[in-house]
Amino acid sequence: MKKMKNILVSVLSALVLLTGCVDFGDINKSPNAPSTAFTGYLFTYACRYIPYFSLGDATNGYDPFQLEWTGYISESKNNQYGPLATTAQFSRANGIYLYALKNLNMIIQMNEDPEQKDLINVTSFGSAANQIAAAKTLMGYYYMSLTDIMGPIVLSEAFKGESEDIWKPKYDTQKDVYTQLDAILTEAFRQFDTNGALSSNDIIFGGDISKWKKLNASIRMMLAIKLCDVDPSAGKTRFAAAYADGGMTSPADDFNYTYDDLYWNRLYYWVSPDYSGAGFNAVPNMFIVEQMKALKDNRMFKYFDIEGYKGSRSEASFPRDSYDSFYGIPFGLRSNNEVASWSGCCCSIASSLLGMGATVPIIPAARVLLTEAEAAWRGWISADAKSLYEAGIKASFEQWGAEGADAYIASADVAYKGGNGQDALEQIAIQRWIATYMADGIEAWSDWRRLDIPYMPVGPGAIDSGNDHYPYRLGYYTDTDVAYNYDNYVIALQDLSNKTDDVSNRVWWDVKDNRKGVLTDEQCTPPAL
Amino acid sequence: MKKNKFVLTCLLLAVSLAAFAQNIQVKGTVSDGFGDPVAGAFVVVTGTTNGTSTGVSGEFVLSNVPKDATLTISFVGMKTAIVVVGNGVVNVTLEDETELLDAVVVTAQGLTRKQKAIGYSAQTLNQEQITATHSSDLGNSLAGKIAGAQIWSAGGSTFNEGSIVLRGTTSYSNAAGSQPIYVVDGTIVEARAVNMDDVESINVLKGPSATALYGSRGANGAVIVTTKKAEEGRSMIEFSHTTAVEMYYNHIDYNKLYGGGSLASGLTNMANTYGKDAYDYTSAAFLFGEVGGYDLGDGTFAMDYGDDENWGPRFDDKTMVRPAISWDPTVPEWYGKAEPWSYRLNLGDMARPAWSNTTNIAFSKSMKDLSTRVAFTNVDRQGVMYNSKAVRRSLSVATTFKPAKWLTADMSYRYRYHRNENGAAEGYSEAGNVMCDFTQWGQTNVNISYYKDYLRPDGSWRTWNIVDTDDLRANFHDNPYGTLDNFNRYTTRNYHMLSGDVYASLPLNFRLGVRLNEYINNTRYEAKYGSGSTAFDPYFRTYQNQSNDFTAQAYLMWHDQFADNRLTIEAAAFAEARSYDYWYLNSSTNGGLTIDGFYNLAASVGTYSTNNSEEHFKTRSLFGTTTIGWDDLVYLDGSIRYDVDSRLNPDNNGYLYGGGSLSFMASKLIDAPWLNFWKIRGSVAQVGSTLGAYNIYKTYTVGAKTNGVNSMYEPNEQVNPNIRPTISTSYEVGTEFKMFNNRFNGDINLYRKNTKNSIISANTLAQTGYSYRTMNAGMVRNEGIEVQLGGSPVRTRDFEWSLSANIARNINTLIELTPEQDEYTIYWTRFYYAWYDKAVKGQPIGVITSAGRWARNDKGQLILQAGNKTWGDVRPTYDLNREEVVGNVQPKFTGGFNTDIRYKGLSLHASLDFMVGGSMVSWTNMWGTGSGVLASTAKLNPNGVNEREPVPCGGGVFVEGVDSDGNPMSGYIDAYQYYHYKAYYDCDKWVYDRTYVKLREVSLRYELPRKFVNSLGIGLTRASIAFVANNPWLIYSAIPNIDPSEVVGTDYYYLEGGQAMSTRTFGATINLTF
Repeated sequence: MKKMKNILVSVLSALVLLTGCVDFGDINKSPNAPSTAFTGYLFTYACRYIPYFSLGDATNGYDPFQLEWTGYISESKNNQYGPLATTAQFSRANGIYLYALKNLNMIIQMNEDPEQKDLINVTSFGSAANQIAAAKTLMGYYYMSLTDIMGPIVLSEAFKGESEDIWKPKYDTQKDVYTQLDAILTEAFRQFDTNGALSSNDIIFGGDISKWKKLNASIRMMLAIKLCDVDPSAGKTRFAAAYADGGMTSPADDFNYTYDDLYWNRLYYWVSPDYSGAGFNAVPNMFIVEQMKALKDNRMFKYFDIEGYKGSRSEASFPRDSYDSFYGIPFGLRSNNEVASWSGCCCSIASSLLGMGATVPIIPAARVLLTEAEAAWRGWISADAKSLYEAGIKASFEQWGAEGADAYIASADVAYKGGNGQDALEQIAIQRWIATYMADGIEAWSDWRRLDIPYMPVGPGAIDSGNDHYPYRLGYYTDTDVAYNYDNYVIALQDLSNKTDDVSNRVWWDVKDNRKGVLTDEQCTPPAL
Repeated sequence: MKKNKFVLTCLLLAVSLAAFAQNIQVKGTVSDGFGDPVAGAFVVVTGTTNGTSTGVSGEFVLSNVPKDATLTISFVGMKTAIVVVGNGVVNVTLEDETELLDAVVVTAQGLTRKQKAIGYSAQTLNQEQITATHSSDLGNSLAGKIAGAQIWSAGGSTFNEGSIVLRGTTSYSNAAGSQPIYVVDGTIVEARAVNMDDVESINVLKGPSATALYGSRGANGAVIVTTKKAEEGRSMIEFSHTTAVEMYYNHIDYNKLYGGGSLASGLTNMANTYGKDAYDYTSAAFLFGEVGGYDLGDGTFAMDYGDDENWGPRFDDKTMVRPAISWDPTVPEWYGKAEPWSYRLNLGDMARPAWSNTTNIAFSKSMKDLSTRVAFTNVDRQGVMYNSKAVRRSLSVATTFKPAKWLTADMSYRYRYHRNENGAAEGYSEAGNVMCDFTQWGQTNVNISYYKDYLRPDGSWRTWNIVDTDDLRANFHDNPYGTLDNFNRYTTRNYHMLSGDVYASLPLNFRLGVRLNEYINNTRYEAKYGSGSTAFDPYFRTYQNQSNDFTAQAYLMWHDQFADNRLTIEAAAFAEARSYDYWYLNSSTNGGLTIDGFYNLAASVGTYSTNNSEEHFKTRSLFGTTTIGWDDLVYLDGSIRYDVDSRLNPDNNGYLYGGGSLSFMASKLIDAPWLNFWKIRGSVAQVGSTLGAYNIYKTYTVGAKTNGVNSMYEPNEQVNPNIRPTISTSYEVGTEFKMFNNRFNGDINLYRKNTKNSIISANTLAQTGYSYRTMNAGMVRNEGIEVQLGGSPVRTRDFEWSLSANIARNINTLIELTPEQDEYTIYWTRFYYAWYDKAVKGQPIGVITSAGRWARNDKGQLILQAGNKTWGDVRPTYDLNREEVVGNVQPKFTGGFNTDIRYKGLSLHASLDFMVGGSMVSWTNMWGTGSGVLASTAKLNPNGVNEREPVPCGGGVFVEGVDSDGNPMSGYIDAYQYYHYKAYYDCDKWVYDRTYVKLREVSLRYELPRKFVNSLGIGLTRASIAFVANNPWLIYSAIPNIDPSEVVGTDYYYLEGGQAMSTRTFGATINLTF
């Protein structure tokens, strides 16, 4: 039977051949997509996932948890959906792996492949050493963010499907991830060649290698500081090494992201042409506004616009230059009615952050300086905590073009208390929280989880739906992790505090639960105006 | 047969005046099987044009008849009789026509086969069955008429044509299944390219045995459309006109007791705080006055206009409340005025009675060796939603001639212009679907019609959902009329269908021919969003695409008879070359428009985006078929096809498949007078299907420019150079019968179809570098039964009642996915809720699961906890990250029922269709419950008090369950808390059975008596008038508030996110034939 079929196929093939048209030539080579990859283009695409950790982009989803769980923003119109975790699942990780990390991995591989490294599609982006080092540095940043969100992640066995047939990769424990990342980043730091540059496809630093080196050292410090409770000796050693290599020191070094003018940079519902006007779905949170008000912080006038979504404010009741004119909305209110009651006074997020082509901060120098201040406070580096603390505040004022940094630093509540007491650490942490407003929210969230500063009681709506604290971890692994890598997933959960896959689990470096509390009725009630 | 009668009819009409001398006069009568006279039968001297028609008593007189001649006597619906003239008196009894006996049907590749000889299921619909109600859409007009067809349709406001799926899905990634191909004059086209006025009949071929000759494209069945042709020997002018009006059909049961806002969101808490008798808590005076602070001091109240929910005070005619429009100083007739607090929401205010006009005119003439038909159709259809309309224009030319005695040339050209302007969108969208603003959100106190004049003098829009009394911008929801006017989307499609067929009749019954078919589709889409909305930015987008699908065939056919004509053989062989080309160009503005109303890319605030793509592929095929028949008793049919496809790896790009069928005429062996026809049949066949172009070689996608530089990434699906075509194997047995002088007939069919080696996008982890891997794996099985029964319980000459019913059960099972993977996620949506649509091994495709709910025990009882001041007596507990199966998309049964009653020229037709089983998620019900707009959120509780009242006052929703230890626990929960949190967290409860029964069409038609028509002397041969109704009645729906038969707009046919407006259409049609 089979033989007959073969004969038949041969005969029919021969017949088709007789018609003279069986060679289809290149017709099945896609005219829509090239078959050669360019490392520079891959790098640019890899950069596009950076804003996910701050303001987000068109595909960010409805709620930017990274800015909500850090006390920066709040929903202004809806009832805020009771539970804190509207983003239940970290599905965005898939995009970061597929299009950011994979691209960076390809750049490294192509530059290390003798057959490809000298081709124009590779060399046009810059020297192999700088390409590899920049790719590893950005990779380090992404992996750090992913592990801080989830805990155990795939790192050592990532992207080995096609090459090594590993289709069910293991999750590395967070401890291992941290060790690997420090090694990868340290190696990358040594590889950078400041005599060279990268092409304009480096949309972060325009090819400036010296800035890449500063970012590299800064990320290593951000990794190391998180070891303070779980592995302080490794933390200290790594921090000191990174500090010696030199992190960012001034706003000129800032790791920013500039949206191009193709799209609005707006929080979700502000991005799509279908949703232009729900523009004020997100407004500043009461926590950040009240904190800055209390400190009479001039950066308020840069962070917030006085007009809320209820339109113009009368100059009489809302003088623009008064700290007291600004109000944020508490997060986690119970009903639309409660949320709506704030609409008469709430301010809004500065429009400078939300326009087309806006440049938004990701890791500002102020964060790095204030992290160094913490390291100095801990005695990890031989530096003056006070001067780093003040340098951090000044860098932030400079970054935002705000006035009066010196007077602010001298003011009673801001003036550095010194010593190694908790009050000094609290000052450093509060200033770091303020300075990184609307920047990398994951890092700000990590600060809160690690230090429990600032104190953030949840809203009553959260209590109604069974959440008595802000999450310590982002929801659940993605469905694909659970469905197609179950055995490794189960092992991964062992690295979490409760060994289950939910928002109450602490990641490895987070050693204790934060203070619990609920907003008071007074806090949930708008001021009588 | 029918055709011949028409030929005779026209011959007679044409020449009845002509007189011939000589010969004898013949007299006689014509009667039917009941002995009743047949008036209007045609009597003609065979082979001549000499004829007449019978009178009222069936009598006729015909002169000039040669003595040795025969007479041919015919009448519609009866067998033509040929009788010898004899002595000049001829009394004839005409037998009823038994259509199927010698009927010929058109099968794959235009081959005609006797109904007897077909060994697979083929269901034919004639013109009257298809277009009794003059529907302009092919998909919708098949509803309920084809056994085993699932109908997917949408609300009339969308202009959706509807589509069918035959015998279930064969794809693990598509629970709904794929449409069959539609074949017009040999060209494979989309259903919407078909002009219903050109359709003579339709033959639906369901299984691969029937469609193997169409190759991979026929894997999901084929709908063969036979177009109208000029009738031999006749000139004809056909004219028809339909005027119809389409109207909004409401399915929503609104809350008419309580109104909008959210001031009642904490009432149980308040009543617990202040005491149950302290206030009339749900009264407007308390909520607006005391809680909201909206007492305006003049006996009237303002309200929380900015809220878009319906958790406000109970309606009360005596309380005067100002509608949002009364705060608008530019509306003098409303400014400062209040109205009684009462129910006013009517979705019909957004709709209008929409008129449509359909005109068709066709000219045909047939002479010796040449016949031509030219037809033109114009459809102008308003949409029920303001600012929407649809246009269809069709032109067709079909001609056949014989340049030489042995040569025949057929050619047809069909053009169709298809334009939709602002067909209503479906789903959860602020802009495209204005219904959502009121079905899932909204305030039932709002009278939408107040806002019809939506523009303020300054160009901004008025809305019911203002931010506040001093801020008249929209808080969430725009003015629907403003949206309808300014959110413009136009789709224009141009279809060109060309077919040519030239064949030579050669000696020894050979026929050699060439066919060329081309299908050109040119589509232009434009989106023009105006300014003024808060829900969308000014925007312009345009895309255009063109596809050319060209097929050339050479064929050789042969037939002959042997052994005293007992052995018949028919054979055909084809060589085919197909090439497909497609181009697409798309551009859109970003960030708004610099000049209001200037819809051009140049007006883009940001850099405009442009992208383009193209696709090309070719196939070469050889195929053939042979039918061998013995003595009209047994027919054996075999077909085989070999394809070479450019989309496959060039090293292995050919594949072979085919099938065979057997048909046995049992009635030939049984000599029973009551058995007119009985066929038993069986078949087995394979059909292949291939993959899309450019899926063999690795490529990189060029992303949008970012900060002026290029970007690039590899697609998330790993390509597989060794991918092979999917092969489906199907087995089928069936039987057809007609009995009791054709009073009862039936067609029963059993089938099994195994679809193996599907081209699967297997899921993998993003961390490996890909989300999907292309591979050949899996098997999907569809097996089922299709039953079609019909008959005419009453049939006299003047009165006939006929019925037909069909029902089908398809059991779909995913037998295997991949060796490593047992389930595939087709689609999911997850926020704080989560529903998945999956293909799971061992289950029908389309398993619906949810991952969150109110916690319940094994018996389904709610696990409750003690309440509090806000909730009342008890509270639910949550179970928020555990996936559970809650339904399946696949229906249990589908079917339809048709009835026709005719009395003389008057006929009444009705058709209904139904579906039993299958599940879907309904967001209209979920959000409508959460926001309190639905009547179901304001019922009386067991206390006889409305649920909306605070729990301490006897209100609240009564809930029974158990505590965490399993002890019974029950109590009342505050309605707001109950329905809000139910909507948000109790995902399982929003999964519904989608069973429905729908009266799809009704028509009443009157055919004027022919004698009368003829006697007018204006050349008119037939005239009729009909009154028609489409979608008049959704008789039963298992899902409240929506129409489960209109689900085209749902996400993957499982998640309804906001249905577009349903409509009913009523019209009148006049048909004239000259």
